[in-house]
Amino acid sequence: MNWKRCHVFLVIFLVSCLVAVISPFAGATVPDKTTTNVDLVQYGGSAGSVVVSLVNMTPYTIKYDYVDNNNQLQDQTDQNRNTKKSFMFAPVGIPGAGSSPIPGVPVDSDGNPVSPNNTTHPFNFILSWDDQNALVENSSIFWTVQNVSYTTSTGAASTKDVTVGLWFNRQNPDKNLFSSFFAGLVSVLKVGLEFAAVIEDGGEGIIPWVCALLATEEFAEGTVEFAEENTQEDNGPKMYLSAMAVPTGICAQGIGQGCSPSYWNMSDPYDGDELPDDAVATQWATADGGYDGSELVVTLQLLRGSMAGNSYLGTIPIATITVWTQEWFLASQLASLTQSKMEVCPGGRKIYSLLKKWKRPGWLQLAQLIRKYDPRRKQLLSQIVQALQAKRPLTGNQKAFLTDLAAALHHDTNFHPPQTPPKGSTTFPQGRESRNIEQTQMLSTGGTTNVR
Amino acid sequence: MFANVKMKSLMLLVLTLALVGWGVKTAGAATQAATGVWLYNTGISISVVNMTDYTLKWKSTVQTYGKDNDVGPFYDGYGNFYSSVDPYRTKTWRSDSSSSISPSNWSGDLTFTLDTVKDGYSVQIHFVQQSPANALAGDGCWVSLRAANSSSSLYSTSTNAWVNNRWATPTTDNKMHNVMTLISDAFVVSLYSPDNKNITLIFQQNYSSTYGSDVNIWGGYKNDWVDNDGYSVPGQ
Repeated sequence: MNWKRCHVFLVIFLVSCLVAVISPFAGATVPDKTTTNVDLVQYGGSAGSVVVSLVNMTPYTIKYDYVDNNNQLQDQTDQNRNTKKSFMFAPVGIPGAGSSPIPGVPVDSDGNPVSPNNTTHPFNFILSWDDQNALVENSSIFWTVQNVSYTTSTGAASTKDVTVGLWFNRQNPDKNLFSSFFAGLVSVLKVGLEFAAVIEDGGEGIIPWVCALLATEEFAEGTVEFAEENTQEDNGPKMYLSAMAVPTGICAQGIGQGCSPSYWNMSDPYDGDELPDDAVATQWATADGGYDGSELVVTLQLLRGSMAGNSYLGTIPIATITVWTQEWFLASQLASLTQSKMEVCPGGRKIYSLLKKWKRPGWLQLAQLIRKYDPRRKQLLSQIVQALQAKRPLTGNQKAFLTDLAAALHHDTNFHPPQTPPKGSTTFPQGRESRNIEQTQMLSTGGTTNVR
Repeated sequence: MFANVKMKSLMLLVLTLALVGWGVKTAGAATQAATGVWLYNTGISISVVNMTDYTLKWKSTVQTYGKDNDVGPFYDGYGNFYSSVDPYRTKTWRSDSSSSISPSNWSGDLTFTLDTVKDGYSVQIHFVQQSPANALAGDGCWVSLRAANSSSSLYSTSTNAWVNNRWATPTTDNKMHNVMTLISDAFVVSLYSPDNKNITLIFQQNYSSTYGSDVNIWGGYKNDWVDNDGYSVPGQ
């Protein structure tokens, strides 16, 4: 190798090092996206900010995914007051952007959530926009769910990183506001938190962030009143907001009309025309989103806030994004269904009685059964759950599927009885509460400032 | 002749540099009375975002000047003072420019404390009144964020710095800022305004977990910009 060539390589190496030092995060590709059926209408907030709450209900870790594109988050240090600017910013930071990822739900060797779970909690931050040069119409933020387990098209088990995105379109759409799905999603989320061993049945009033996430105070007023409050037309300009996995199938080139994820709204009765609502769950079909991209369910729920300053709904919009594995979401959905909805067939009735009897240990076994399904059967179960939610009649095949699932669940719970904790050993709500009290005392007494 | 041309060129260069210097004049001139966001008395709002496990309470020592009926932030038209926000909820106070409670110029503090948490995490929104350079624009004040006491656990510095992976800003440098951030290992507090009218204060909590503190999970960008082309901002 001559010296000239050596110099070229040296320069390339140094430039690469410089780029690596300057760029704090690895880059990602932003898929093109237009408004879809999973874009909910949120207020931009008269103060121009939206609170985002990110919850990881998967066993996988999540990292912030830097995107080098206009209107994405980046350093903002221009001190020239005369330069009008336009950008999105996150004043208190971004979860998963530090040296450690957002932890997943701790699981045992069977893949079941470990109890107690003192790890899972929301990551709350705020996004705002400087629009003084021009309105920032489109902006987005992405995270990578790491090493997601999935089944390939050949039936082999594999793992892959899956990107999840949050998209804002701040064009102030002239859309009416609806609120009918928030309550349904909250009931699934409550079961999910019990499933993940964050709370026990009836323990949702203990932890402040759980109360907030489940909107316990809001719903204390009744769902009708909540719906009225959450649709008040008074909180400034509107935006479209959507959260979903980034597809790797035939929709990898762009998301939009004709290339949207499947969604369900847990409404009763089901009516797709009601969108945009204040909650939605999205998941890609395997052909559209890829076998890896279809493995996750992303739910989005909105507290829109109100200019009236309602004491519990607040004034700044709050968007909660929860990332789920498909089996945990399906199991939580099934467990959250009321008896009346499961009455549609013998299989449904049997599953309901087993889940009611065994509670969380039964849900864990149900999730284990679902995990063993191939993508086609998971999709079929998903369609059944949607039909049950909406009280739509099931087909003969769907009824037979539920009968098989009920028999398998009965077999597993009969021959491998779930390990229920002894009476009175409800350790984790007290443990969680005592941890919070301990934390409060530590902060109150001026001891170490570490929150442990 | 040649000397004249050189002299003229030199003068042109000096003039150009002077104009360029004028054009890129940045925040921090000597006549500025305080640090932070400059607010005119036009339809402002103050929002409080409480992303912690604790009720966030506040008290006011804000003095009002100018309009007779200006009662200051978080008072309504009937003299009621709103002084707290629940965990994980938000509250906004708005001036009503069409009514008598439109703000004029203020001085004093709103002091925010997390209920049951030690005072080291208390902060103040600090108001300093100052007449603008151009009286036609009306009165106004500087609004900034600062620790409420000298033994604060919230990091404060004379220059920007990374603290727990987030960007802390100076609080007493007498320069204009659109965002100011105080950081500790338990809470991060930020005051910002994207438009010099709406101000938001956010308290955000670092949780702990079985893996320890969340501090290393958080990251972010350098946020300390200025965006205010109002021609009569005092001191600018």
